[in-house]
Amino acid sequence: MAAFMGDSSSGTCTYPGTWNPGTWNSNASDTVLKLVTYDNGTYTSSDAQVYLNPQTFTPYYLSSTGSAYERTIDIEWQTNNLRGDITCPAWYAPAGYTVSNSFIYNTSSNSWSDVYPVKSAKERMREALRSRLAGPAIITRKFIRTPDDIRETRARDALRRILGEEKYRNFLKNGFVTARNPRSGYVYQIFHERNRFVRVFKDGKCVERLCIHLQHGFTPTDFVITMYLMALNNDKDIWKTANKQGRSINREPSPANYNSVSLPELFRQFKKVG
Amino acid sequence: MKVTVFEKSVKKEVKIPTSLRVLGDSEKVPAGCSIFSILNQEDGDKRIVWDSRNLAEIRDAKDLFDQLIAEGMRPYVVGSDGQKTKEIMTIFDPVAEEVLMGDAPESEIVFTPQKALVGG
Repeated sequence: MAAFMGDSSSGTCTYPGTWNPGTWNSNASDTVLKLVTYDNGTYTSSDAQVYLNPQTFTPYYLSSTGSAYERTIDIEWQTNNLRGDITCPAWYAPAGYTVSNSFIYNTSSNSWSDVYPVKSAKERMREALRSRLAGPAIITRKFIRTPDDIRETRARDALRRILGEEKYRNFLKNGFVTARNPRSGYVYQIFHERNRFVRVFKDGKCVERLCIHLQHGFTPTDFVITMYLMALNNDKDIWKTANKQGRSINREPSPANYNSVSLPELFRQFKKVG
Repeated sequence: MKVTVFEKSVKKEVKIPTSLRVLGDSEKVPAGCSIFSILNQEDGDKRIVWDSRNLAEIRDAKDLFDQLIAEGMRPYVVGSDGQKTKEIMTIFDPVAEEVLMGDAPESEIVFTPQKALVGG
């Protein structure tokens, strides 16, 4: 049974690097097979091999279809990797051949019938029951997880010294720090999470959202330190650099999505589908 | 010993003078020493100590300070434990109250890569 649907995407990826597989709909913990067509330009040997990051892809092989320049590979990976960036393959060429340092990928959703396994109605029912054990919760803040990267650990040590224990604990719990500039009176809410706007408050109201980030591979906490110190001292430079996104719309927190269908009805639906 | 201020594509390496020491992760700051904290993306932030009673080290610290500023880093004087005010240090002043420390350093100079900030 086809349980996955993916959108087609294409582009050029320089290796080593990452590419994003796009948006995928899937059942959790299923394993899927995906076709990627690549074109490495100068490599003509039929013995081409594609080595994939074993942490991201399992297992891998190169099929023999396609012309010398264009081949189709089947990549299998776990669905928990689908929404992140994927490390692109490393290329290995026999002596005497050259490989260009980029490849063109072209993903398609044509092969999505190769999908397994699908959860049974019983398993899905069990999940539905589990989700109803507790009431709906509203979670608006994300705590910060322990870092795997030593660079991030060192950056957090620096932030801890700058903020002090109490503020640092709040930062870990809430995922952001706030800094008030004494001259302008603006309060800046700086998030650790990447891709979030810096929110600017005045007299308790959000007046602006600023889009700004650090280039050149600095850790998220390095960004927090830089923004925190700038917000306290030279917030004019933040305004000069950032893109202004306008005031946020004050949204009321909405309760978590709670399925109100009765359990017998839900089970009938699962049986019908599965 | 070097610090890489920006990424390899725009690599800017600043050589740390041999008289200055890079502190280990859990190492405490020796008495009478002052600290530079440099946000560094290559292998993590670095703490560099120099003896504020030693003229040669002060001179080397000034050189390092000037080089880092020339590479686009911005220095802030930061009180430890969030207690003191933070301010930008535009010119290296080894006898400034914040820099010349007693037995237990109460503040450090944090270099931030402000040049690497871009609007999204």
